[in-house]
Amino acid sequence: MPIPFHSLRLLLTALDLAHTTRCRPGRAKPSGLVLWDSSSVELGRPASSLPQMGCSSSLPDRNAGRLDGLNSENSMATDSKNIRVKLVLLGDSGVGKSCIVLRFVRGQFDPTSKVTVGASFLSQTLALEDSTIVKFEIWDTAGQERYASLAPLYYRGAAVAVVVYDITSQETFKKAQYWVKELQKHASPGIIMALVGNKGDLHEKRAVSSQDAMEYAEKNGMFFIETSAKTANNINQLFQEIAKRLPRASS
Amino acid sequence: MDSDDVVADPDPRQSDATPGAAPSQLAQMRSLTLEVSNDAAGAEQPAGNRSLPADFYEAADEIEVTKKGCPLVGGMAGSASRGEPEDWKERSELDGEALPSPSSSGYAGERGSSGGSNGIEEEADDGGPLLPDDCRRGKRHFDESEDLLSSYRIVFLPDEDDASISWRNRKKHFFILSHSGKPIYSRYGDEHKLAGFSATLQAIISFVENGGDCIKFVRAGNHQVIFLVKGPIYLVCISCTEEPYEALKRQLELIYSQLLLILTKSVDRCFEKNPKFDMTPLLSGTDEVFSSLCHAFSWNPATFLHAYTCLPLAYSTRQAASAILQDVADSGVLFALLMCEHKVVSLSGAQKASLHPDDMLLLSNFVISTESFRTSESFSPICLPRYNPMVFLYVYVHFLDVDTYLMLLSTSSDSFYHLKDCRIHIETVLVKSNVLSEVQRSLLHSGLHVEDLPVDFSLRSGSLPHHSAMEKAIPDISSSHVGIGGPSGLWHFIYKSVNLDQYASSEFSSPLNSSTGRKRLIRAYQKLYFSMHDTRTGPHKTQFRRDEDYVIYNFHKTPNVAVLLCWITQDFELYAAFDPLAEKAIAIKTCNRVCQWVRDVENEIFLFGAAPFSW
Amino acid sequence: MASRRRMLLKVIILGDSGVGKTSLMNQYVNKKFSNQYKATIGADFLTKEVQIDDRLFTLQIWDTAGQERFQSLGVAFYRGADCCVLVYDVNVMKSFDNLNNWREEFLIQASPSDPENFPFIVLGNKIDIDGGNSRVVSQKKAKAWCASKGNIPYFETSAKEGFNIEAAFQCIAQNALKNEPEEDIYLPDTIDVSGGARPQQSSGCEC
Repeated sequence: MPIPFHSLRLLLTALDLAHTTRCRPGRAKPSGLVLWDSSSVELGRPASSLPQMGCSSSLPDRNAGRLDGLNSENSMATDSKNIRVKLVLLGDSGVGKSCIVLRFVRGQFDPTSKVTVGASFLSQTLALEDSTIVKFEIWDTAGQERYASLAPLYYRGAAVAVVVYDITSQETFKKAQYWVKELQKHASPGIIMALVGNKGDLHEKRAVSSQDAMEYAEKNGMFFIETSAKTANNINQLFQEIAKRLPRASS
Repeated sequence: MDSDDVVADPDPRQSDATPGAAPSQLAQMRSLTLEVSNDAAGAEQPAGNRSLPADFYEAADEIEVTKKGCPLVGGMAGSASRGEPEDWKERSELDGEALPSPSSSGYAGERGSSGGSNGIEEEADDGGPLLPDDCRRGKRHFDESEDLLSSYRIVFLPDEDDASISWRNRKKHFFILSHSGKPIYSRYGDEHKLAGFSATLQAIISFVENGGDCIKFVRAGNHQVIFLVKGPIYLVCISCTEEPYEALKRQLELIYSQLLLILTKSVDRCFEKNPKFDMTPLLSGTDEVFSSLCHAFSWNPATFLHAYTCLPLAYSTRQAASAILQDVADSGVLFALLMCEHKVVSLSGAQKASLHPDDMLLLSNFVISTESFRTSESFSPICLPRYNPMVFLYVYVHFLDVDTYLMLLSTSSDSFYHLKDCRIHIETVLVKSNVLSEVQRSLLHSGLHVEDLPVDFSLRSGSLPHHSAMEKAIPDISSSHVGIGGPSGLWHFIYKSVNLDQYASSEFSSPLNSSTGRKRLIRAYQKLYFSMHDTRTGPHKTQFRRDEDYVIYNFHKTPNVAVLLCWITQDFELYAAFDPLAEKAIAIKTCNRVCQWVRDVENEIFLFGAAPFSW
Repeated sequence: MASRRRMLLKVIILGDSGVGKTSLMNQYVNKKFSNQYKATIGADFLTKEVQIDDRLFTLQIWDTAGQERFQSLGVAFYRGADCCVLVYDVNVMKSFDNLNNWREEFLIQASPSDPENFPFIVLGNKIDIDGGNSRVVSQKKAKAWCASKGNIPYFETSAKEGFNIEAAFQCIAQNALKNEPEEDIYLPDTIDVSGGARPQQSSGCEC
């Protein structure tokens, strides 16, 4: 399914938004979008722990200094063609977040549903037409209620949030709206948000109309796309569209 | 919808039998089956509540899920070990008995559909009859008959409920429910369809509670009903496996701990805030974790031994793994565990932090039974109930190969990237030092085989006869050793080192080839363990048993009465199973040789230097 | 397609002995069930699935014994109830007068967080008897009482003809849906581990 013309406009809006708050090159904060230096190991890590989850360690926090080191190392990276971006997937349990990621990262689809526990971490690079290379570092979060309070762990510092619902379930669409509100309140202000209606292959059981979802996305400055992890429809497009919207380092 | 979705009565036929119970039997039951909890101040109880009305026990008999015609047997909680020998027989004869179908159950075709799999059914034991896997909503069950972890047979079941014959024929049920009677988990069947049943359980618990008592145990026919109240969470086991009360209670404790591992004890606050609280959504997607634990009760000695087991490895190999894990532990990781299936390769912890074997068991069960950990590296909050039941820790999990996985625990929610760095570092070192390939090799070829028990100590080599010796041993087993076991009729043993909290067990070999035989042996060990540690009769030093309680079936399904020997000292506990013809004197001699053997190879079968892990 | 998240509702049925609670339930669940536990532990238990829109509800129905000896089944029994159904016999004044006692008994025992708005429903049963000629409690009177107690929904039923029962239970599920609490986020404890990194050793070693 091609991206609706309508949503392109939304994408532009989102892009503008992202640009207005975009970070300076090499800085992980606040959006978590950083330039990617192939020699660096990790970046875009959360800035600080959540107060409510805070189990402050009894152990010397030796890694703190080390990661600062990594950050400064990174700030020297100036390759504007390599972008590294932290992306988080949110949504109700069973909407197919993991399937979307596995389709994108490994080109696989496994119809037997496997419940994600906590969050899985995967990465995939995408080469754009303008020869920019985007490395997605993807947090595939668990949709279960017991992990809801932990979501900030994963979306904090993320440059992109992909909120997924199942087009055959109104309830998951409601849940998606909850996540959007949550992100608006607590995520980095410049975060790029995508609303994804998954299971597009089950259109005969559709319970959420594209129109409704699109209107909701428009109202909230998100871009909207319907996908099917099963048929791979629009999966790559989703990530390509995200990549296009990423703020580029000033060159 | 379904006409069979509403049945509160587990067995309507039973109600007819109840009035037949002689009053004296009821009186006996009253005095025997209900233990007044220690903290209930008996003297201050209102007189009217001192003893329950006799009709309560009628109710107690009604909750049994047993077959028609079972005599009402009063049995004291502690005396379960008396057990009827028949109960150790294969259940299949009973399972095969045609039972009247509950009216309009919708399961009319059930017998026919499972009739073709009689052979499997016989082995299914706890698992009960197999049913066609035609129901997508059905939950997954591990078939008890399958061999250890490697090859679960997973049975998909339709929405069983308490009206289904298949449900009633299950030998061992586990339930979790809330203090308002809302179902949280049932090993078999759909929790919502069992809502009436879980309400019944709560009403029974509450009824006794109202009298200032605490219900612990009910024996009805050949079924035991074990209750465990943990604040707002109730756990119930209904079993006809003749395991001792202490063993079943311990299993309920582990199930509760598994729940805490997933949610922490702060889940109690949800109930304080809102007694209506429905906990099932919080546990969504964890059925498999509990099923796998319930399954472990019948094959994994760690579930009762309070000890963990290591994968046999050359001392230097394990040292290499330990060194790198210790490095990581020194860099701010709370615990670092490298495991292969349910066996420890190595583990390490930050100073003063100690890991309880139960927490290890539950953590590895959680990881192994959750598919998503195998897909990619993960970072997840978990709670180690013996470490601190109130808080979440964070575990980084990565499968290095299909069987081997690394778990790094931290107290910090921010630690993912650090733990990931640690893993990359560890993995590099493990690959470089060939630890991973050694682990795979050990998994395939190593282990203690009773056939290899050194006969003459002057010949002992001081290392496990794996690798070259192993290849030689294989044709050996298939020819001369069949049906004989090891020297002097030794079939199997478990050696637990008390100081290390570790155990080593021999591999199963002929005549313990059938999974049922193995399960029975594990249950026999378990029974022995609890009778050895029975505080009322005082801890025993040795036991040599050749009684009907320990029937073990060989692969021909002919009953063999194994001789069991248990020997407990300050340093170790040895559990051994012998051929029925084994003589006591020779068995004792053999046990001495086993101990010597274990000491000779202890560097390879145990993990040393994990001293801070004592608890 | 079945709803993704099923909701379980604990429903307590209260009312004088003989008002027909059990036959109502029989009718509703469309299944004969004998009194298994009522005489012993004070209640029988039924489950029934109800669908409203795309939500699936499981009603866990506690059909209590109306006898005096079980009037106080204790806190544990009523704990966590989502709805309470009060039943009386339109032909017996006493059973109507007792509704107040049953309601108060419930509120005391269950002590719900918001007693004013706890969902009750009232069923006036046996309206078919004698063609309605033996009726002593008028609909008006019953409705007035219900209105005075915070507009409790009122249904007149006849177990014999299955009249209105389905509607009454639909109402229970709808009420629950209306009162569905804001989804609480599960927040685990916030204990600072730095203070208590020591394991709780003695807490539960059962060996």
